[in-house]
Amino acid sequence: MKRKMLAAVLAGAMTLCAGGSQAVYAEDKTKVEMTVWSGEWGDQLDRIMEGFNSTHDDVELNITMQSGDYSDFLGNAAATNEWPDIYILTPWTQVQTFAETGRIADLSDMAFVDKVYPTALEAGMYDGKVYAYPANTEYLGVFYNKAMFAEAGIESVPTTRDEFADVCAKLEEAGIAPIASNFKESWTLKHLFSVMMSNVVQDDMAGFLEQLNSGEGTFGVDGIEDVFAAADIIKQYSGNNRMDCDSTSGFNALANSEAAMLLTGEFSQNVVGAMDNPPDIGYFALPVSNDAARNKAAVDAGIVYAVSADTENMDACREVIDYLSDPDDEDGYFQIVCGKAGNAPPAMAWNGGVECSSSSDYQEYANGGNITPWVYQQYVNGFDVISGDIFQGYMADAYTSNQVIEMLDAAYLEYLDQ
Amino acid sequence: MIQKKDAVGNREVRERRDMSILYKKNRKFYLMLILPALAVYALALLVPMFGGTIPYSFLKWNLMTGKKAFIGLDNYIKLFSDTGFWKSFLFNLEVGVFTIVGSNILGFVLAYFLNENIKAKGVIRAMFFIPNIVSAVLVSFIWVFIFTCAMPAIGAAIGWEGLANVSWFGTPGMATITIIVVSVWQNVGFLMIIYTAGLQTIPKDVMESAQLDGCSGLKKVLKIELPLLMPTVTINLFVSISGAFKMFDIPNAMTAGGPYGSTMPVAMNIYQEAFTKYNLGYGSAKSVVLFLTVAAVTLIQLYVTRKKEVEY
Repeated sequence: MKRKMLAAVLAGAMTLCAGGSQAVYAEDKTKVEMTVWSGEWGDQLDRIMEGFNSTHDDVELNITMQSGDYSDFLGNAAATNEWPDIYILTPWTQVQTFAETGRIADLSDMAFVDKVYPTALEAGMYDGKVYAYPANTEYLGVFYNKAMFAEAGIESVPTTRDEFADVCAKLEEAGIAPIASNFKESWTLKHLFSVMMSNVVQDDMAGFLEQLNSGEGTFGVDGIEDVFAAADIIKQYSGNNRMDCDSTSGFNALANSEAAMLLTGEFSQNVVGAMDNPPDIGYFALPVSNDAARNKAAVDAGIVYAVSADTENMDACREVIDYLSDPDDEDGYFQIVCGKAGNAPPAMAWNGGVECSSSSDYQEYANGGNITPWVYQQYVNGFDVISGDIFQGYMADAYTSNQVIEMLDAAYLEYLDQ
Repeated sequence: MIQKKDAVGNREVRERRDMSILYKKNRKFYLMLILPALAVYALALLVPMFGGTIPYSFLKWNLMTGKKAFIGLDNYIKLFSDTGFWKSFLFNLEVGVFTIVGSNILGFVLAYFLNENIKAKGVIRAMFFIPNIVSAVLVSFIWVFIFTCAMPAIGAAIGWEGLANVSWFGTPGMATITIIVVSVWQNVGFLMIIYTAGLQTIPKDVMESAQLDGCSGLKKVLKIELPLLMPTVTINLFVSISGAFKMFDIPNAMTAGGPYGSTMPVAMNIYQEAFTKYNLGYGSAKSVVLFLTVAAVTLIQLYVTRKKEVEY
C-alpha cells in the first residue's frame, strides 16, 4: 500500500514537473521556437525574448541555445527531419544546401531584404532568392595595440607585406613581442588562411570556387606565394612556442599588452573591453600582398537566421524576423547584441554601438568599399575545418607550401565526393 | 598448516555447492533483478546499434545534402584505403599501449605500497583517486595550463632553458606525450583502487606460508601476489583497453586533434565524419569497425588473462 502511495505521489510530481516545463506559453498565443548556437549570449537571449514578447500580443517567442557543438544539432535535426521554426545557419554554402533541399523558406519579400547591405545579403541567397536573414557582419584581420606601436616608433599601420615585416622587426627591436600566437587551435588558422586566400582570389572568387567545386580546381593559384610569404612573416614573429598558444591566450595577450598584434576577429575585443583599463586597440587589414590596393578588410556575414519550410507558424516567424531586423527599435535586437565592444556590427545601417578604435578603423575600410568576403564559408560543406588543420601543418613547420597545396586539393576532392 | 589449507578448501567446496543450489532455486528471481538494467542497456545501446548504426553503415547518407542510397559494403571497402582513419587507429594504438601499460604498472605499484602499514594511506588513496572523479575536460584544462604556463615559468625560474622553451603541442610526438601523461594520471587512481581490493582478497595464510618458505621481496610479488591477482588484472586490462580505444575527451580538450590532425583518435575521426562532413553512413561504418575491433581485442585479452588466473 505504501509503495502504491509512493508511486502515486511520484507520478503526480512528474506530471506537475512535465506540466511546468510546458507552461512557458500562454494558451492563446502562437508559439515560435528559435534555436541558436552556443556563444557569448549571456542574458541576451532572455532580453531578446522579453523584448519581443512584451511587444507582441499574439506570438510567444522561445529561444533555445544549443549547449554543445551546433553541428550536432544540425545533424540530428537533419536525420530526424525535425526543425525548430527559426534557426541559425552558417552563411553561403550551408544556406544554399538547405535551400536546395527545401528545408528553409523563401524570405525574398521580407522588409530586411532592402535594408541589409547587398554584399551581406548574398550570403543568404540561393538561385536568386533570399533564404536567410544575415543579421551581423564580422571582420577578421590584425588588431594592434596603438601604444605599443607608438613606443616602437611606428607612426602608421603597414599597408604592404614588406611594411608589415618592417613593423614586426621594429617591435622586436623595441623589446615588444610583435604577434600574439593563437595557432594551437586550428579554427584560428582556418580564419587566417581564409583571409589570405580571399586576398589572393578576390578578383574572381566565384570562378575560383566554381573550379574547385567542379573538381578541376587547385589552391595553387597565381599569387598563392603571397599567402606563404605572409605566413612566414607571421611565423617568424609569433614566438618560439607559437603552437602552444590557443585563442584564449591570444586574446589575453592582446588585452594585457603582452604582444602588439593579434590576427583575429572583432570578437577578440570582448576580452579587451572587459579589462579595467583596456588598451587602445586598432585594426588594419592583413597585408598579404605587396600591392596595397589588394589588402582589404576581410568581412562577411556572421550569423544568418533561416525559417523552416515546414513551420506551421510562418506569419509569426516573419514577425520574429522583422523584430530581429529592425534598426530603429531602441530596445530591439541590435541594441541587445551589438551594443558592446567586440560585438559584431549589424549587416545594415544602424546608429548605435560603442565607439572604439578598432570599429572606427573597420568602418573606414567598409565606407571606402575596401572589403572582401571570406572564402571559407563558400567551400564545400565541412572543408573549412580541414583547411585549418592542413594549414596548421605549415605554421608548425611540418609541411612545405607545395605539400599544403597538394593536401588541400586532395581533401577538397574528397569532400566533394559526398 | 596443511590441515588448515584442507579445512579452507573443504569450506570453499561446501560454499560453492550451496551457492549452486541457491542459484537454481532462485534463478527466475535473479533474472528479474537484472531485467531493469538489461532493459536500459538494450534501449540505450542495442536498439540504436542494431536499429541505427549497423543498417546505416550500408548507406551512402549525407545529412546536409539529404542524399541517401543503399550501397552494400562499399563503405567498408572504402575504409581500407582511408589513410585518415588508419592514422587515427595507429594513434589509438600508440597512446593505448603506453597508457594501458603505464597506468596498470603505476596503479599496481601504488596499490602495493599503500597496502602496507603506512600513515594516512586512506588520504593518499583518495588523492590519487580524485583525478578519476573529475571530468576529463577539466583535468585536461589543468594540464594544458601546467604544460603551457607553469612548466615554462618553472624552467625560466630555475634557469632550465630546455624546459622553458619546450613546445608541448607543436609536434605530434610531444602532443602525444601530453595526452599519454594526462590519460595515465587520470586512470591510475581507479586502477589502484581495484588492485587494492584485489590485494586485500589474497589470504594472509598464503602470504605467511610464502614468507616461511623464504619467498620475499620482488620474488613474492612476481611469483605469489601477481598470479593470485590475475582476476583483478583481467578486470583492469579490460577497463583500460576498452577505454584506450574509445578515448575522446582528453585528446579533444588537450589538442583538439592537433597539431594538423596528428592526435586525432578514432572516436574523433568518426565524430568528424558524422558531424563535420555529415556522412552518417560512412561514419556508422567506421563505428561498427571500431566496435568490432574493441570487442575482438578485449575478448582475446579476457581469454588470455583468464587462462593465467589461478585458484587457491
